[in-house]
Amino acid sequence: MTYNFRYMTQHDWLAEHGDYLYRYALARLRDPHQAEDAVQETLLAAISGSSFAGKASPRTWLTGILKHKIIDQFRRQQRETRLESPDDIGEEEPGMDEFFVEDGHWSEPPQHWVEPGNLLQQQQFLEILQDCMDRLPKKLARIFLLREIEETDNEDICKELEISPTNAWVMLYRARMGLRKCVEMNWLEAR
Amino acid sequence: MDCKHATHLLSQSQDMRLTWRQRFGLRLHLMLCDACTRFSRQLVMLREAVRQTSIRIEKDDRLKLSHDAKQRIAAAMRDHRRSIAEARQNPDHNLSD
Repeated sequence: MTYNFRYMTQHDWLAEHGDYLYRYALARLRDPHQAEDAVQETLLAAISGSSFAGKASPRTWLTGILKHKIIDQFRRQQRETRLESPDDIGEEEPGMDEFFVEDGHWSEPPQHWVEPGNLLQQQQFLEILQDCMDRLPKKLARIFLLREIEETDNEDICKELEISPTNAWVMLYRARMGLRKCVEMNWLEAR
Repeated sequence: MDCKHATHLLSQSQDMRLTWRQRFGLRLHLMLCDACTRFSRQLVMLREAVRQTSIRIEKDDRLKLSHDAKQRIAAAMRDHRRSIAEARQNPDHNLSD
């Protein structure tokens, strides 16, 4: 009886929660195909899993599985990028020396950014940010995104992504420096 | 502390708690340096904006799984259920695999 009930509800998971899970994944992966894959992996894992005993709502439970699948995807991609271009990852030096002159001062000091006032300007700012994120090296963009939107502890991110804390901070630093510069150039031009 | 070092610490402070000594040095530097003060605000602004974008995606009802993706996932779920059912019926066979 219990099994029948579970089997029945499984049919509805895709219809009832599929789009929600997709948006959740898309917000974190920012790639439609990867988001679809993550949803599929989640639902398959949910079918084999037996941990759902009606304690949480199915959506909460499925979202919990999806979080792990997103991390899995991420780890896989980082591994693949590492094979393609072994530079960057594994480096323990922050670099970014082009932003500074020899005595450690800015070569081009950050400018004042006019805060986006109305909705249109906010939209414009977010679009510039997205463009700039697309221009970052993928591995930097991914760790930056994951770190900024998840409230996850830095230590946990390192553990989950199998990278050293030094490597994590170096990548986050490079991502922020590159992104900030790109946003500044485009935002000042647009204003 | 120079600007380069200050940017290292400002980036790190987005991810972890700095030591007392680091925080103190950074505060002194920021009192005297407009460029790094701007940099510091901009890091916060970037984080806010990234979060804002993600929230918008999560709340955008127009974003849905495509019809193709739904069918593909439904088919994968059917196959998966079938193989689980088969494994339950023939546990020995499954073990020898």
